[in-house]
Amino acid sequence: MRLIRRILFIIVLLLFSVIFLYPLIYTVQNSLVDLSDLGKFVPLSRLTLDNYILLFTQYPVTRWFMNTLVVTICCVISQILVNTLAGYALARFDFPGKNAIFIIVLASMMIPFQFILTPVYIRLAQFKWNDHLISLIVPFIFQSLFVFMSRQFFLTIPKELEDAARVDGLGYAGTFFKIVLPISGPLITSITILAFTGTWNSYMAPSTFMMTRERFVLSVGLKTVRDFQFVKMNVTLAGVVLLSLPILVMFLCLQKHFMEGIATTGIKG
Amino acid sequence: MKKKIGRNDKKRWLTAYLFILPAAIFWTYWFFIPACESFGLSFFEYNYVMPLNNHFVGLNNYIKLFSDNNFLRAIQHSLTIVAVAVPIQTIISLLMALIINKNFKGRGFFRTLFYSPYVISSLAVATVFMYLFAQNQPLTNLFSKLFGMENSAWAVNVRYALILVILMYVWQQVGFYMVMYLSGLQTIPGEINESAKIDGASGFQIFWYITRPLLKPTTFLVITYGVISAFQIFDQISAVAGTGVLGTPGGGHLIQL
Repeated sequence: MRLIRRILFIIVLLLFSVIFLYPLIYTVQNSLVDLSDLGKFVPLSRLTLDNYILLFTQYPVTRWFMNTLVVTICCVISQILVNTLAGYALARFDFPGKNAIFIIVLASMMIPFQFILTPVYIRLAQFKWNDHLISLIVPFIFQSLFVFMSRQFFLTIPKELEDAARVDGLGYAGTFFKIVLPISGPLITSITILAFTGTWNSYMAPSTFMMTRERFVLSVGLKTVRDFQFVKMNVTLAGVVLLSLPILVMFLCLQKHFMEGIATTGIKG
Repeated sequence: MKKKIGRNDKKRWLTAYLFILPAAIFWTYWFFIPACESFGLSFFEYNYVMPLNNHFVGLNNYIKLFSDNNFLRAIQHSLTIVAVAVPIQTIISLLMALIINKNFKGRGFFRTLFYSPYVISSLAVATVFMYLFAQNQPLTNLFSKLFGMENSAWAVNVRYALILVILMYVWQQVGFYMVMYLSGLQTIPGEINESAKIDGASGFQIFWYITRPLLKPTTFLVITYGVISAFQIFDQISAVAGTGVLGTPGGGHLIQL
């Protein structure tokens, strides 16, 4: 009985692994072969980087890459600063209007970005910011989810440390930046992963706001490549790898802290 | 008990407001005002290029929308996606969490593997799935052998396009809900399971009478979050039904609100 259950367990685990690994292997494998070798298992010597070279030489992929990186880094840093500060105030201070603000934060989480896409675009156009990378940063700095996560996290860490810092003569801002943020590893990692993936992968806003090919971000640029090269599966899949690899590497580096962060930031039952 | 408001309190208030100020500015300017404008604009005939012609039309835009067949069909598709994808992903993610929650070597690896699709761009996932389910591709062949489905590209097939979207959506999302269930499972004390085992409960009985009821808050969260995000699905549809050379599947065409 024990043995049967053990075997069953392994079979189910393997089945899930195949379902999750297969598309990844299929993508990487087919991005590394010539058009004539598609779908075949070829010896290692026949693998080629030609598809990647073609992407980098015929399209401004390096440029798109830099654009995406700049936007993502600016978004991650500004989102962490602005939203953890607000979350900290909601968790630690008592002040008139606190509950109202918290309810506003919760309500804002329910509204999808699609709802405000048009007025935001009109605003950007008034600033002459449309078709500039800044249009992909400034409207996205406030993130209600991150305010919420920060509040939940700061409620769980003990207050004594901050009181001690205050007694030692550190101001409120000093306490926050020098004492609280450095011990908020799980929170910062969770927000970093969510902010990084959210910005790196975003497609709707950049495809709406950007017009000039050189100013595209990777997701938009590679979508245009895909639409023109759809028949050339190996080239398109090389684009998919380029879009996915940085984010997977980032996730693998941070994932240990991330699971811990999930438990302390309120994204759970 | 009313506390006297002292100088110290005022200073704390001021600090709190200062901490909130940056977020409040961005929220007001890039969220609240646009949201109000969006709501207001929906009652106007509005053209950004010719502002002179803009005028109030009341509920006309809504009437137009709801008498548009494409819109009604889009709603129907959205509801289908929610009704099919959410139950499937809830059950599968629970199953995966129960597996990963067992103590075995390498569970960290599997947890990371199952979660990783969630961090990848939906556009990338959609592209890969369109190839996986193109004509004569391995998965199309497999499905046509197993279930007798047509061996043609699913993305352009009116009958299969929606199934394809749901498949890729669930594949990408389950890892996220698995993590939610995992943290829910970790709040269940091990002693409860132990004592049930001593009393002679089978594995299934433990799951059905102990684990399942205790996970109720997590399940509520998983379903709520699942419904909200399934309703907002955009990138996958845009990738499959967009301007690709593959063309747009007539029946699978979705307009998103």
